[in-house]
Amino acid sequence: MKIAPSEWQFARKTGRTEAVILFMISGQMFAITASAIHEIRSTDSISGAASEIEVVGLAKVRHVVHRGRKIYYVVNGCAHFGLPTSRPTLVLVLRHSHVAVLVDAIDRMETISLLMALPASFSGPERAWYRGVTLIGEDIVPVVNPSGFLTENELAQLGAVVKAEDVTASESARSDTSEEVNRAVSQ
Amino acid sequence: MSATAELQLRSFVLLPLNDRKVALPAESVIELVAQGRLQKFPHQTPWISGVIIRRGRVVPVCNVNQLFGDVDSTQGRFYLVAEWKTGKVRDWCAVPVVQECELANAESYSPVDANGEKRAAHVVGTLRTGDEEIEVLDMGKLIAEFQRRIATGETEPAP
Repeated sequence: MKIAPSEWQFARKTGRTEAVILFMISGQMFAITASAIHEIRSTDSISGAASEIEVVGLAKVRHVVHRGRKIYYVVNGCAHFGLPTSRPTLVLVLRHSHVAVLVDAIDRMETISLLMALPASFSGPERAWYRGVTLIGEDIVPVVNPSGFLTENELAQLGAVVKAEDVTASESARSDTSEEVNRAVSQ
Repeated sequence: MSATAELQLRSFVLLPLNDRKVALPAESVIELVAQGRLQKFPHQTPWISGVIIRRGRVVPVCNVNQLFGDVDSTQGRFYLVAEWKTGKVRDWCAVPVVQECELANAESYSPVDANGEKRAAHVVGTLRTGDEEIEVLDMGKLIAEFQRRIATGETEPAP
């Protein structure tokens, strides 16, 4: 039996602290760096600006929110992490991103000083989901990677669907307008 | 030191699973500890059932059923923490075991290629204790095989 040499220790002390927001999805706690959050809204407050979207093979995104010129794809946190369905009440709108995430609740803010890399044994999509894990008290909490909710490919797929729907909507609006003009002329 | 002398110095840790034993080279074993709190978070690596913290690091706990094809002994009494490596990747893995482990020396060890038997790639040899033949495993090869099967879709990701 041997003691692991210190160079194999995975703990990465950054020497600085990081503010994180702890949030809950289906009973599981996650952390996300506070600087990655643009705003936190209730699901009710954005429902008026949301429209449905359907992309084959991408069931975790069912809604898109138009806010000014910006589009946000709403990712269902349960579907993304493969957790049992829950009732999300909040939306985390991510900064510098087209992603908003449905979550159940915000637990609190915390300051962490330790971020441990995800062990190399993990080989699934969780390698993209998380920046690593941290300790909150005695609990191991995964620290979410803000750019891990949607891949570039998935964003491109969603962008193409939204663009196609916009074209259809504007063509429909144009045809409605010309019908109204024709009706006015004939009268 | 000759290869034979080196082999004689090698020892193996015998892991009692539910209905059989497997062996790991002793140099890959870190420690045997009483089972602590298994913590879980979402992931899709089927052979990992959770994580524990040991010596300041996060150690994945294996699902014995998935990895060794044995009845899952997550409710066992101990964790055997072992190091595995494959290529440039290395990590620790905690294996739930139901009893204390034994140490065996290499006198009865025979490498797999010496007896010409066809076995799984992760079985590097066998040990004979009495009537019992115990497979010596290379955890790195076992896990690499699992990871290959996940990548090719032969194994379903964890629910």
